[in-house]
Parts: sequence; structure tokens; C-alpha cells
Amino acid sequence: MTGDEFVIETEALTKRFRRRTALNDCSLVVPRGRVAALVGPNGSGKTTLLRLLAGLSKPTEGRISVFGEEMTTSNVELRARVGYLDQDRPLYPGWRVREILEFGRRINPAWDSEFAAQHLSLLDIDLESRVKNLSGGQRAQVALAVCFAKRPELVLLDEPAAALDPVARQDLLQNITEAFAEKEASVLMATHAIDDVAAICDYVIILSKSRIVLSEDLDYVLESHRLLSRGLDDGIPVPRGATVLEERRTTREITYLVRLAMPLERDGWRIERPTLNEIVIAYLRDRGRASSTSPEPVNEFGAL
Amino acid sequence: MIWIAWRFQRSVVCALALLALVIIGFTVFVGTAQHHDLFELMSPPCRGSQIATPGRGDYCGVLAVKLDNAAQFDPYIRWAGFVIAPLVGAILGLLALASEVESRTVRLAWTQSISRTRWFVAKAGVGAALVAVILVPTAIVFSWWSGTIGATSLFGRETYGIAGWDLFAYGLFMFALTLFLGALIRRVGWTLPASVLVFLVIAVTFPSAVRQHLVTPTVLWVPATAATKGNAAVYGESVYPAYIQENAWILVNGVARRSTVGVPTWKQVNAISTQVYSCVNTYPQKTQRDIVNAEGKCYQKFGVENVEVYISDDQFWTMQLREGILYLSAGLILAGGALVLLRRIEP
Repeated sequence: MTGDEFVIETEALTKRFRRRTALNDCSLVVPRGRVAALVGPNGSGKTTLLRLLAGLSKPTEGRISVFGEEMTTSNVELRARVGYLDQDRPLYPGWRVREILEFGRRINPAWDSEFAAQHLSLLDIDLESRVKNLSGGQRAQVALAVCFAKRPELVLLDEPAAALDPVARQDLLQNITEAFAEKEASVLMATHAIDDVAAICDYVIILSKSRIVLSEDLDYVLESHRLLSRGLDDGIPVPRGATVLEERRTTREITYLVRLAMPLERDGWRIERPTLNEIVIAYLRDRGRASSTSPEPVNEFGAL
Repeated sequence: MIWIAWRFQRSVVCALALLALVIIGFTVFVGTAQHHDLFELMSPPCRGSQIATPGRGDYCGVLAVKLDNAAQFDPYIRWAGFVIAPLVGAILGLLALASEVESRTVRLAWTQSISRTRWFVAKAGVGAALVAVILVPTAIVFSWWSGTIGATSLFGRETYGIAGWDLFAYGLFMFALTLFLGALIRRVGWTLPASVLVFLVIAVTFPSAVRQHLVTPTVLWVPATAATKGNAAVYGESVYPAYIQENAWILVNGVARRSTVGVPTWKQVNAISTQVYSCVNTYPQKTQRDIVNAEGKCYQKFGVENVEVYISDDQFWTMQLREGILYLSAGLILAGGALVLLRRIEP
């Protein structure tokens, strides 16, 4: 891939808050046109990374670029191309929804008033309601409308579905898929919901203990991980090129969740595809892992 | 952006404007009555006297009583005059920055297609304009009221701050101070007391430390003759020698050596006065003439003359202008500092 194909590139990105390190030596790329998921436990640095990308804060060390340009707190032209939904949904509580939309219209040149009004009308949110009288889910929807109506080329969403009911959550995922697939916009979404990742994302980044432990195409992630099982007494060694992420034992069987760097030979193993949930949890449990460049994909990892 | 800045503080501005209107209305109401009664009392047939006059009965006495009664409102009006400017400045300053940073709504504003500098300039500009809209008419009314009640001197601590256009400058200074401290502290609950404290310290120290140096004072040397020493003038409750300038701000008054270089200071005056008055006390002082003679001899012995250092009341508006410019310049610097701090904030 070339540099033009990445909407986000970070290099040795580090962010410290006094003594606490929120992000440590993070290097990642997100290709253009992808819906990327940013997954990690609480306190792993997801929100910090998104705020850096949104231009709200400055890195302590390292470089951060969006659309090939350095993102800074003063780069207005770049910020005009980026939409950001904060996890706290900061909206002016005393304002009416209509006024919030007017706020967006007045300071965003590419503002899509029709989209914003239509989006909220479909959700039965009265434009004359005051923000402080809205439910948490409705506030999230208003914040999303502001974020989307800006017509950004890159959308940064911090826990977008956190306060939404199941129907609104489903609608939101549908919105993201439709709204951004059409104009080839890119999305980076911090989430705890692995189901959402599997449903709409095609790229996954896993953060653990302030470091990036995985940053890959979702398909490649699914293809490059396998569950290998054998009897406890079989004594077959782990295949060459397979890195064990997790080990599970029963009274009769041992199962490894492995990452493959080369095609797999069966050698007496029972091979299964892990779910994305299993892969993510394995990475999050394997917290000692240092940030590393992922191995290059190979064409085939072995038939099931 | 102007609409956004206005929308953000609209309801608070309306409340403050209403408060200012109430204060203005009350001051105009009381001041008009005071002005009328004072004018009548000073005009024929009363000519400043409370004594009953033929054909008008106790009209003059009644006027004097009415003026006394109305004077009970004076402290409240002065108090309102001193409070309104910093109050308006502080509240609008808090709303413009500290409140937004604390409530994290800046995350919404600062991720839109607008720079922090433009956001700040719009908010600070609209805020300052609103402070002016509220305080300019307030300052005009208080200035008028201070004149109508016949204040003997506009330089008094209880009068100077509300008798000119500086009321408006104080408000803008407080606005900028709150912006700066808001960018520094980022918490409304701490920014407000910190701003009030700093403002009070400046308000208390400024008159003695800076104000008297804003214009060059007049130095009046008066020879110790019976003509000057024999007359006295009453200002308020104090009796002064007749040569004291009416309504002036007296910086130094006493005796000093005529050979003193530059403007005599209280320290110099006090040092020589002790010796001169000790000398005067050595002479018999049975009559006023004895006192004048004794003073004449002692003044001659020590080579001193009466001296008055003062700022005359025609310098009032020059001082107001210079003090206002000082406050506004300090406010501009503070606003610039707030902008520098704001660019470093990571909400």
C-alpha cells in the first residue's frame, strides 16, 4: 500500500498525562474507505487515540497524520474533513435540538442540513426539544447527527452505540454502513461490542495496556487465526509458524488459539475457525505482548 | 460564530441586563428627586438655608429633611455601582471560557471546522461587547447621579469608581481577568473566587499606589501670613485652611521647607511639622493673634511655608481616561494570555 491509501498513520505515538502513559509507542495505519474497529479494555487508550486523531490533544512523542497531513490542534482544514463523536456526547444542555443543528451549520462549510433533519426526524426526535430533556440515547443520536451532517471523509466514533437501545443500535450500524459506503468515507470506531465489529467493520485494531497489539484487515485476522486441538496424550508439537495466543485444557484435550504466519500442515491436529470474539479476548488476555508489526499475510493458511 | 457566542450566553445576558436596568431605574428615580430638592434648596428663596421664609413657611426645612431622607439610599446606590461592573464582567467571562472547558462542550466546538483562535476571538469579542452594552448606560447614570447629589469631591474612594467612565473599564478588565484565570484554572468554582480576590486586591491598592501618579499634581506654596492662616474653610466635617483647593484631591498638606526639591512628600512634611509645632508651643497662645504670631516666628526660624500638593477637580476626566486606558490595556494583555493558554488546553 502507498501512503495515499491510508487515512490514518501514526508512528511511535506516545501520550503521557503526568505520570500515566495513556498510549505507548503506537504505530498503525488505517486504509482509506474502511470501517475500522478500535477494540480494547477500559483504560487501554482508545479514547486518547481518538482525541489525538480529532486534533483535541497533542502527542507527547511520535507523529500522527490524517489524509497524509500532520494532525495538530490548529489544523482547521484537516479537522473540517474529520467528524468526531466524543464518548461524553458534549452538547449544550439548554439549547434546542434545532439550535444545535444551526450551530453545526454555521461553522461547517460542508454541512448537510437535510441529512441532519431527516436523520432526527426518522428517530422521532423533536427539533424543538431542549437537549437537557432528551434521553441518553436521543442525545447520542443528536451528537451523531452533528457528526455525520458535517459530511466528513473520516469519522471517529467513541463508543457510538453505548447509550442506544437495541433498535437504535441496529439503526446506527446500518447508518454507518450506508452513509459511509456510498461516499467511500472511512470510519474508526472505538467499541466494546465485538458483535458490532463483526457486523459492520472490515478492519480491526486491538489496543491493550496502551499498546497496539493487532492492526489488520478483519478478513485477514479471521483467516490468520485457528483453533488447534489434540488429545492431551498425543504429544504433537505446535506447527511451525504458529504463535500460540491462548491455551485451553480439558481433561482429555488441549486447544490452542494460534496466529499463523505460514500455511498450516494438519499433522494430526483438529483445526477450527475461531470467532472474532475468541480472537479479541485472546489478544486482550495476552497483555504481555509488545507492539509489533503484524506478519505479512500469506495466500493460504491451510484448509479446514 | 457571533450567533453561537450570543446564543451561548443569551439568557444570562438578559438577566444581567435586567439587573442593570433595575439599578439604573432606581438610581434615576432617587437621583431625580435628590436633584430637584437640592436645586430648590440652593435657589431662592432658600438659598441653601433651612430657615423658614415668608410666604413659603417651612418649605426649605422640608426640602432639607427630604434630602436627608433620600441620602439613606446613597450607600446602596454606591454599593450597587461598585458591584455591578465586576459582577457583569466575571459572569460573562466565566461563561465564555471556564464554563465551556469544565462542561467539556469545547470538545464539540473544537472538533468543528473552526480554529480555537477564531472561536475565542468571537466569544471574547461578543462577551466584551455585551459587557459594554450593559455597563456604558450604567456608567452614564452613575456619573450623572454622582454629580446631582452634590458630591464635594469626585476623588473620594466611595465616588471615583462610579463617577466616570471607568466603571465600564473595570467591567471589561474583570471580564478579561476571568477569561485568563478560567483558561488557567478551568474550573468555574475556583475561577470565580480567584478572580474576585485578584480584582479586590487591585481595587484596594490601585488608588494609593497608581492613581495619584496618573497626572502631575499642583504644588501650592503659601507664606505664613495672618491673611491666609486666619481664614478657614469647612469641607464635610473637617476644617481646613482657606487656601485648600475646593473639591481637589489633596495629596499632601502641611508645612515644608521652600527649598524642598521636587514635590514635597508626607514624610518630609511630617518630619518638619513636628519641629515647627514644638516651636509654636513654646510661645504663649492666649489669643488667635498669639498663635498666628508664634507660627510666623517659628516658620521663619525653620525656613518653612505652608504647602499644598493636590490634584484639582478639572483633572478628574484626564485621570479617568488614563486609568481606564490602563485597565483596558491590562485587560487586553490578559485576554491575549488567555488565548495562549487556551491553545494548550487538552479537554
